Amino acid sequence: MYKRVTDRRGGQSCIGAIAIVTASFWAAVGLLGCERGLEPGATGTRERARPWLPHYAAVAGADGAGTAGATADGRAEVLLPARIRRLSSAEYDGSVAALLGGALPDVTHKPSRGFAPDARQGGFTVNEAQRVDAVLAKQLFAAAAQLAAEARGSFTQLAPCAAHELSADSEGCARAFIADFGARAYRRPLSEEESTGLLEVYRAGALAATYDDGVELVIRALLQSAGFLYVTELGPAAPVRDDERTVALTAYELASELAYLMTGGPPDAALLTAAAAGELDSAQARRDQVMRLRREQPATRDQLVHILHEWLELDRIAITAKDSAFYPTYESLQPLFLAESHDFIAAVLDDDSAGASDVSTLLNADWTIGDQLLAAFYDTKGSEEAARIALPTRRGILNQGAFLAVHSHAYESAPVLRGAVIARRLACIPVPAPDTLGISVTAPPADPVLTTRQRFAEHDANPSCAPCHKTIDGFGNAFEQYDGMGGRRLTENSVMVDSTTLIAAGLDFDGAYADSDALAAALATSPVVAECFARNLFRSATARGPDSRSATDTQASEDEFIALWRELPEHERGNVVDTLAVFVTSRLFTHRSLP
Amino acid sequence: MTPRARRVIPTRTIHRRAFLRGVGVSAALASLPFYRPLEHAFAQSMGETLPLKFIGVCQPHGLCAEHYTMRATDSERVFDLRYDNCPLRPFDEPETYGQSFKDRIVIIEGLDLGSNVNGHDSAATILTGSAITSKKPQNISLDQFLALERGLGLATRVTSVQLAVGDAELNSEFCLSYGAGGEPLSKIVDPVAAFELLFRGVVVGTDPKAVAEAERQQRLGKSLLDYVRGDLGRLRGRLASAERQKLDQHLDSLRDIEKQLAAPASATKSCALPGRPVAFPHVLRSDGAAPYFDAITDAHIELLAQAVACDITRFATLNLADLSYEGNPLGLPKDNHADVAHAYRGTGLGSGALHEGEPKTWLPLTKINRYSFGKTARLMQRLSELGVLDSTLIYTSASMGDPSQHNPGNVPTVLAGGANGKFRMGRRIRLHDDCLHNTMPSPLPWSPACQDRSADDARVFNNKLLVSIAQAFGIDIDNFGTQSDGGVTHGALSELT
Repeated sequence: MYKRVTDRRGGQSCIGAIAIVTASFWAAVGLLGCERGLEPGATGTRERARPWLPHYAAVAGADGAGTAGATADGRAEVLLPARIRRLSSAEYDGSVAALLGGALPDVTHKPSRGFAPDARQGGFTVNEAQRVDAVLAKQLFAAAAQLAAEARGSFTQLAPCAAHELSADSEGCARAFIADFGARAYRRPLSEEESTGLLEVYRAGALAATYDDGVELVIRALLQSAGFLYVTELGPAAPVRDDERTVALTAYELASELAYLMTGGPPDAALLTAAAAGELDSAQARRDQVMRLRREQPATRDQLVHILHEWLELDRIAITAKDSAFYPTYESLQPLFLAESHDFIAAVLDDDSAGASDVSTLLNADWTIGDQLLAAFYDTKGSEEAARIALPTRRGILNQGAFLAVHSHAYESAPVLRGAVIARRLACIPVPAPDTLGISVTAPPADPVLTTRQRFAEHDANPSCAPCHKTIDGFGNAFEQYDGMGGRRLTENSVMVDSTTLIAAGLDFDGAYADSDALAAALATSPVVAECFARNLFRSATARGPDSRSATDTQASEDEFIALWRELPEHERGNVVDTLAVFVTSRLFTHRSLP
Repeated sequence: MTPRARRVIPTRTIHRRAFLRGVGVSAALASLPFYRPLEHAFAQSMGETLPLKFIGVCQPHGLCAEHYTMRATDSERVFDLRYDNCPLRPFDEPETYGQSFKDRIVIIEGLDLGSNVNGHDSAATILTGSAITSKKPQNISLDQFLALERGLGLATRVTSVQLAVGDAELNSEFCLSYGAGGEPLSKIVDPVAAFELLFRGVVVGTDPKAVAEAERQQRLGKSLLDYVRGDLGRLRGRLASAERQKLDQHLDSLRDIEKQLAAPASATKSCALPGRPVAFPHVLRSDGAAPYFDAITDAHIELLAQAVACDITRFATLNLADLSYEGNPLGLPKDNHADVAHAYRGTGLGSGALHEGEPKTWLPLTKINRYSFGKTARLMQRLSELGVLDSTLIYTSASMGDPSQHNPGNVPTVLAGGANGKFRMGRRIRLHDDCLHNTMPSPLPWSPACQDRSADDARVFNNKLLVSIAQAFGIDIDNFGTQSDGGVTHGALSELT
């Protein structure tokens, strides 16, 4: 048994641990002493105010070796469960592009466009719920056939062989192609069984036909097979001992996890080389890869924008429609909102100046990116081409068109929808849906006299509504200055719009606010919001969340991650890449628990 | 996986062999599925029953119970569907649908969905009989249970098909069919894609090049699917049981492709290849496709009927959409949801607690109901014309009864088709007796049969109906669905047989 002493000073933290254990453990702890952050296991930050955080000893061998599955005091280590997950549609596109990109005639065409839509958990499409059902299986079959046929024009580069008519050399060429292309498709070297199986496929394709026909069939098979479609978090293929409770991911699994997280696509050559050399066991090396991908790969920036879009469900702007009787200008502004939601986030992420590329800028920026039409909608001036627009009063992404339009109805604003998103995704208050509480929801009827806020007055008055809606509507009412498509309004039905609100949810940003722009400024500096943002990034990165079937397993891991994240200095905590790097450098990233 | 139900060889096999001998076909060739449509025609003429088919249909916006309910002058076997404002009129409208279907429907009042939620998500309960938790049902839907788990759909090229109009979303509000564990199945919203799925690989005529090419594609496809199946199996072997479910579903999904590759169907006289549907400019509501919904629905119905007639599939579900657009043919407000469904003020009829409603809000909702029932009638018409209505069972429902209250009680429930005689059709069944107070200021122009609902009159949930349907398919179960009160899921709906 041991006692831990924590001391927190402005973000720096020291662990002093008194332990009655082996000397080697002592030494390791002493070395880890006051180091921050990078090495997994150096989890020191334990606030006394939160005794529910699991005791997690600084286990020796932070680089992956060490006691399997138990902490120094014998409790089970907090890890995510081993599993597989299917690539999301976007990841499928990214993987196909990486594999065949140069060989395809039209690189902008996304093969998954006709696929059945991804299931979402907590707004994120990368999640555990993805399945291959009968419809998708056929769509994958058809897509594979088409992609392989399209790639034929590039077989001289993809699958070089001295002769394309069948000859004594053909099978040798096929073997080389299978080994190379197969390894790229599966993101790891093929096994003996896999190579043999694919050679049979080649032979079936080449029978009474050509070498190219055989290659085409191999590509069709690879694009539909398990090795391509599923990302595994299982560790090595060799069977584990019965008493093993944890497993370390293989180097190639680490490479895939890193690549899909940062780029939405498979590992590039540099990452695969690092994996082959065993470098990814080192947390520092993984961190370096994160930073390299951020610097070098354009896909990384788009992937981060994609994650942030899904966090606030902004990607739905593409399918959000409005009633043209109420919002006749929406149709022309919708593409501008779509572009803005991408360009603004991209600009925030690209800004390398201190404290810029983080959640507080997203929430409180006094600028955005758009052209003069968008600027006019925001009551300001812009230029013909999209550029930075200074905003007189609007603050941050919550007060931009995409967020406001998505979280509204087709013909009016929706304080409840907006408030629920803020509660769930910015404050991590788990607001239940009314039907899970058996509540009959009857929308207040349209009214020519009352404002939207007045029509929802029952939420305050009715004692069964008030407990949840005090918080939800408290957030949502602040946005009433913006109508159902995000346009500024002073009146509704000739009554002055009231955007004042009083937040009393027991949060660090409780208080009175004049409107949503004032609220955004407070959210931007709130530690609660910063932590919730980190939690959401973790849920996206691990493809699990409170909605997933294994939710109870993952809650502890999420809390563990937050403990690690708190070791970042305060000004770095809101940074997207730094937050993801905390996960990538931790043992949560490299190890999984076994059932 | 549960063991497959052992398939008993039906007596029609005897006649089939006689038929095949008559046309000089060897036994080996006779195992190919493309002979089946011809067989069916022959079998029918010999008075044999065809395999039973199931089609589930979901309508939007609940029910105007006041116009749906039995009238005082109606009885179980003798009832009028042609009075003004009757939403069920399409079932007795030979001038529109070619014949009356009154003798091939069962109209049920007072059936509830045990979703345990108020709201659109109750649609998921229609075929699963499951309470909804975390916005999802907990178990497989009946169509998938019969088709896949019990193997009744395995003999056809397509195990089952899920069609929808306007919304491809994978959530409980819009989905009827669910795989193991309650995972929603993707739906096809584009009739062109439905055509591809159902009729791809059907070779027309005997052009030797086309046939040779089809045979080559079969061989290639089989080879690659053997590899894919092996690859999935290798991965599956490494997984814990909870994770295996993901790959089991994937493996099952390959089966349909394999079936189509094993023996491509051939169009014959009694099973004509339907024309490829015209591509619609849009098919999703979010793209503004609402004005096309009526035509899309009819295209889906056509493909479904043809697919059933050609025995390409025996299990299907169809999600209908409303006509929420300016200038819609029903003359309703542009937003059916807000201005019709939520404007409706019913009397609570069928849900037990009665009160005054607003009669002027009833007719708009009834128009939606009648339009929707009309689609089931149209489906019946096409199935009948193709000779397969007698061997089909259609179950049409909605996610709600009173839509403005989001109440999953007293949902519209119509069983239709011949169902191979498993149910006594041509009836109206009331599961409860409800009474409208005669002191209402604007009484209905009719008074329904009235007895006070007694306190012992327990709710009847659609689980019993699902059990009955399973039994009609020869699956001997006595419960279906997931409910906290186990008693709810047990027993069949005795009124049907």
